[in-house]
Amino acid sequence: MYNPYSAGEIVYLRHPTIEDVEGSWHEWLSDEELTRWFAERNFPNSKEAQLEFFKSNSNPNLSNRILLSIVDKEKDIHIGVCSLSRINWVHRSCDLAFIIGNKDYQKGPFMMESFTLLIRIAFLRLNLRIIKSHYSLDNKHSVLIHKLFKFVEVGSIPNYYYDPKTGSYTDELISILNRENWMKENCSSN
Amino acid sequence: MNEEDLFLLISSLLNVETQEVKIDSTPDDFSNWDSFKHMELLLAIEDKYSIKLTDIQIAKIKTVQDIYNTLIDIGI
Repeated sequence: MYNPYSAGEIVYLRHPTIEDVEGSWHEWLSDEELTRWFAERNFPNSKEAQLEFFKSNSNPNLSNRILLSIVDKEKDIHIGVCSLSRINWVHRSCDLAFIIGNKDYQKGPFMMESFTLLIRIAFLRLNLRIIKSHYSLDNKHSVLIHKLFKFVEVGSIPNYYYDPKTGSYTDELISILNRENWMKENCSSN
Repeated sequence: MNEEDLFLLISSLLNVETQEVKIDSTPDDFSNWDSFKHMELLLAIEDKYSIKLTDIQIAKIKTVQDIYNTLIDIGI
C-alpha cells in the first residue's frame, strides 16, 4: 500500500497521485455509461483537464473537499475515485460521491468496502454529522446502495436529471445519513 | 440456521437451480452475481431474517460462506 488514508480488507483509500492522473482516470469521466448519472457528465474529459483538477485538489487542508483514490489493496491498482465534497465545517455536513471506474472491478464487492470506508472517514475521522447524497431515481445501483447503508430519503426534485440514454427526465432523490443514527447501528462493531 | 433456506433464497435471486449454490460458492461462480445482484441479495437477507446488517458486515460479505457466517454470528 502506498500512503493509505484508510484501509479495508480488499481496498484502501489514499490521496490521488500524479500516476493516477497519468492512468485511465480521465477516461472514466468521459465514458458514456460510467457517467450516465453524473451532473458533470456532459463534457469530454482529458488528461490535461484531469491534471488541472488534480492540482486544484492537491492540498486537502485548504479545501472543502476530500478526494480519494480507491485502490485494489492486493494488486495496488487504481480502480476508482470517491469524495466527500461541499464539506461545511460549521454545520458539519458533506456530500458523498464515488465511482468504480475500472470495469474489471465492478462485479466484486469493492464498491461496498469503499462506501463503508468513506462513511467511516466522514463520521469517525472528520467528525461530520450529516452525509447527503443526490442521485437519480432511475440509477438503480445508487438507490440500492443507499438503502443498504440505511440512508433516509428526505426529498426529491421532480424531473431533475436528464438521461441522454432515454431522452427523458427523472427525479432526483435526496438522502441523508445521520451520524447519531449511524452510530447506534454501527458503533458496537468499531 | 437452515442452510437450505439460505441457498434457496440465493438461487432464487440468481435465477439458478438451488443445487448450484454451495457453501463455497463465490460471485465468480455465477455470471449474473454482479454488484447490483450482490446488493439485492443483502437486502433480501435483511428482509428474510428481519435483521439490519452493519456497514462492517456489509463490507465483509463477499461469498456464500461469508453470508452464512454472518447470519450465525448474528444468532440466526
